[in-house]
Order: sequence, then C-alpha cells, then structure tokens
Amino acid sequence: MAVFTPNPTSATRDGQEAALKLINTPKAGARALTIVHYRYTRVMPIRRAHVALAVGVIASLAFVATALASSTYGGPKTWLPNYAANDGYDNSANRWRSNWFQKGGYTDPPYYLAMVTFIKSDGSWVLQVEDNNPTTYSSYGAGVNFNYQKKPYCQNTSTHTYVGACVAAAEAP
Amino acid sequence: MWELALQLLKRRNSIIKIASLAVAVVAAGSLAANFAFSADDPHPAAFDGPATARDNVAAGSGIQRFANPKPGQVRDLGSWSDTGGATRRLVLTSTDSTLASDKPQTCVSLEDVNGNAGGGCRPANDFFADAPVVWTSVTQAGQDGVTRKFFAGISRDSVATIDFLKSSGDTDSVTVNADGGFFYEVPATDRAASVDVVALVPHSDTGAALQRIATK
Repeated sequence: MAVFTPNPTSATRDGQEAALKLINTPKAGARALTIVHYRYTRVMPIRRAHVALAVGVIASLAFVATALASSTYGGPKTWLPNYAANDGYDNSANRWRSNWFQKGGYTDPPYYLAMVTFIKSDGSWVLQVEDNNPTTYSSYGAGVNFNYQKKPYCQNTSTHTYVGACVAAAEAP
Repeated sequence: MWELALQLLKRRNSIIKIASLAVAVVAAGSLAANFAFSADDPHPAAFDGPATARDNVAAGSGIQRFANPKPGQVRDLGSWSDTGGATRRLVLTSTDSTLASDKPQTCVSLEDVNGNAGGGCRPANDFFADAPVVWTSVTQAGQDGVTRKFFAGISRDSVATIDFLKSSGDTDSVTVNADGGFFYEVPATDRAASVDVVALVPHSDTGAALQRIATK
C-alpha cells in the first residue's frame, strides 16, 4: 500500500522541510502528512496517503463482520487538531452499532490521539473511547438495547495533524 | 627514505586494523542490543501460549462484531470490578484482517458484562513499536447518569507497574498482572474536579521509569 522513503535523499529532505513548514501553517494539513519515525522523518504526499487510506477504509468495511450498513462519515481527509465529524441520527429501521476512527495515513509510529463516541438525541455521550492507537473503536454488545436514536461522532483529540477516516456501521435493532 | 615509508605504511595498517576491530566491536554490540530488543516481546507475550477456555468472546459482542477474531485469536487479560461493582474485562484479539494497514492487527479492548466494547488496534508485529504500554480509555455513562472513566491496556514483560500522572499533579499507581494487563479507574472525586490522567509512566521491576506516554 503506502510507499515510504526509508532513506531520504536531499530532494526528499527538502520536501520534508517544506512539508514541515506547511504543516505548521493553518492550511498545513491539506498539503502534506509528516511522519516522524525514530531516526528520520518520512513524508507521504497527502494524495498518496488519501489513496492508501481509501483502500484501507474499503478493506475495513469487510473487517466488521456482521455490519449491515457502513458509512464513512468523516474523510478520508486531513484532520487538524480538534477537528471532528458526525453522521446523521439513525432511525428505527437501522441503528448505529459500531464506530471507529481509522488513522490510515500512517501505520508506523508515532500514533496520535483520537476519540469516538455515540451522541444520543438528548445530547449525552455513550461508549466514548479515546486512545492513541491507529484504529480507535467502540461497539455495542449482544443483547444490549441500542434501539434508541443516536449518531456517531469522532474527533482528532491530539495536537497533531494527520490523515484519517471515521466509519460507522448500523444494523436493524 | 624507503624505510621511513615502510614504517609509515605499517603504522597505517595498524591503525586500520585497530579501527576495523573497533567497528566490529560496535557492530557486535549493536546486534546484541537488537537481539535483546527483539527478545523483549515486540508482540504481546500473551499470544505465546495456547488459548484456554477463558480466551473467548461472546457471539454478537462488541469485540466479535468489530474485530471478528477466529478461534485461538483471543486472550483474556483479566477482569476487574469498577467502583460501581460492574465487571470490566480486558481482551486481546488478533486478526488476519488488516484495516488500513498491510499488516495483521492486534486489538486491545475493554468490555462490560453486556459485551459493550471499546479499544484500539495496532499492527500485530509492531504492537509495542513506540512504547512499552498500549492503552485505551473508555468513558461509560451509566443508567443512573454516573459517568466513569477507565484506562486499560497491556504492557511488555519489562513493565511491572504503571504510574498515572494526573492534571492535579498527583499520581496513582497500578501493578501489571501476569498477562501484562492493567486497569485503572479515574476516581469519582477527580472526575468531579475535572482532574484527568495526563500521562502514563511505566516502571520496570527495579523501579526505573521507562517512558512518559501522554494521554492528553
């Protein structure tokens, strides 16, 4: 999938410096994804990161085994710090049951914080999960009453910019 | 003149030999260090042994629904009671599915007795790539309106205890269990005062701090 440059050439390093400058500007995330990994910095062009992530999102839809309907409601895109997304409220025919944030633009460290949750129609949050793993998820269990109105929500809760996508799956209650 | 040149050449050869020996020693040390690193479970050691009867997830549970692990790809890392008396179970799952990566994934999840689950997934072979602890936090709103927040996860064999550094400046510590699992509930008094965990600091059995892992 994603092809990185393990030993950056001077041209790549120039690109990295440019990307770092860009990523430190308000519109930075729209241009480049910078990945710091141990001894060197890797730069993945944002378009390539998006393609890689899109393929990953498609693959992940098969990952959720029993989901009847999946929706990519946020991205794939570049997420600036605190950027958030949500899908619409569900209906009685299909209820949201699983929700995950897939930071697929990078599969090597460092990994950054993200949060997923469901928001009920009264505004309260349920099944809120936050961590710094490449995929962060929450999912209702068996026999649990999930037959109430809610919508999936996700957020980049880190101070970093990264590429990712938020996906939710719904089922008939 | 020729003798002087010959002596210089001999001296130069000696310098080269010494330099080569030094390089060889450094290379050997590096290899040994790499071996020691790889021997320290780049993947969770919980998968080293065979699965037992407790290593399962219920059909239709949140973990099964999301990660869909096959038989043998589940490890129970322990259960704890929260302050409300509810049981919280920590589960490690492996899967051949790849999510956004081209690598198989390992997920660490915290589930309640109803199978509601939340957690995170990482590439299986690089599970501990950036830290000796992989953690997730779950905030659960109860039916009585009380909200509880938990930190749970799994650590390398080299970790004995984990400090939870709080925004108040205080620290709580938990001991890692035999499977590397750990569980921590943010005290209600902290939640009420908007005090949260800002970092995890794993310690070795000698008490050495291994890393500071930001959670905020």
